[in-house]
Amino acid sequence: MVEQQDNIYITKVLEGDRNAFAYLVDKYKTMVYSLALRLVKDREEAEEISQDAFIKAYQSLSSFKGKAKFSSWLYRIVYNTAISKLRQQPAGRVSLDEPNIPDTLYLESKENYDTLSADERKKYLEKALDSLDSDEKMLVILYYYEEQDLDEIASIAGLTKTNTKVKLFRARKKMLTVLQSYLKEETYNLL
Amino acid sequence: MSERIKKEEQFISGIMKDYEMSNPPTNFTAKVMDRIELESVTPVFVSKPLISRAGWIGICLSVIILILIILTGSSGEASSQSWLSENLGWNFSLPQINLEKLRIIDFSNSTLAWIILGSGGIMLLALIEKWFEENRFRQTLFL
Repeated sequence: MVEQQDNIYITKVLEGDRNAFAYLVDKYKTMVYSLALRLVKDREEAEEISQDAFIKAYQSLSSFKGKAKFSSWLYRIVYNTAISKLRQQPAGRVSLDEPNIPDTLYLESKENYDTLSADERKKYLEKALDSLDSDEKMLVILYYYEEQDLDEIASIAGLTKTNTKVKLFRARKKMLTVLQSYLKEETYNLL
Repeated sequence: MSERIKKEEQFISGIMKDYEMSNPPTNFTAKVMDRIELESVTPVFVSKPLISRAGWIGICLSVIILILIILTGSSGEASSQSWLSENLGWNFSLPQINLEKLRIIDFSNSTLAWIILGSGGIMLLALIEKWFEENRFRQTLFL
């Protein structure tokens, strides 16, 4: 139904109704901007990336085959635009690749997380997401927040389904590690 | 999937419910549409017909000229053939079709054949182009 609605507007745009594109911009701007902001961490830059992504989408709308959802196609453009922007910047954060993960990680993280207030939970979630690489952030948001299926995500990220699963698994572990370390720190500070 | 992985998945899925999206500036849509307008972004679907307008004019003129040549030539079964062969040194033969029933004006069989073949050709070209155009548009969108 959602895709049908999108396709109606895409057809209108392709037939020359430029204003019909405003509907698509309005519908996806929040997700596109959030994704861009999550990837680049700068509001101005995120806005620029989002605008560029929509313009690229408009320019290449005729190449949208409708095999995937329009949203997936658009997120891929956002991701590629943000990644090429990030490549122009010097590398900063050291990635937490292959963290040493204890088996008790999940339980400790969960127990501590459940005791937090809503604001604190948001704060630590931000920290956990920030610990991820750009592509991992996108995968986590699309999988857990947008609830897109693995095939869609794989096509957005240009990965195989297996690779996507592996990356999601690693991202989850990283988030748990970060949460655990912050939550331990919090508990220690309270004591 | 092991029990632990399942639990971790559920936990991350649960904490992601706290994730909040960030709203872009209020005039974001207007800015995008302005950029599309101002930067004269290429139209998304440039309909390029197989035969251009100039091409169609050329085809129509050629057919009209050909018909005129045939009509202004002397009447008779092989009039156009002789006129062309005399002036252009071009020898050709048309298929023998019995067009007696279709004859309204007193044209020769070959003249009528030229007119029918010419109009038929144009109609065929127009149909092929229409089919290509529709097919391309459909494929571009949803296939």
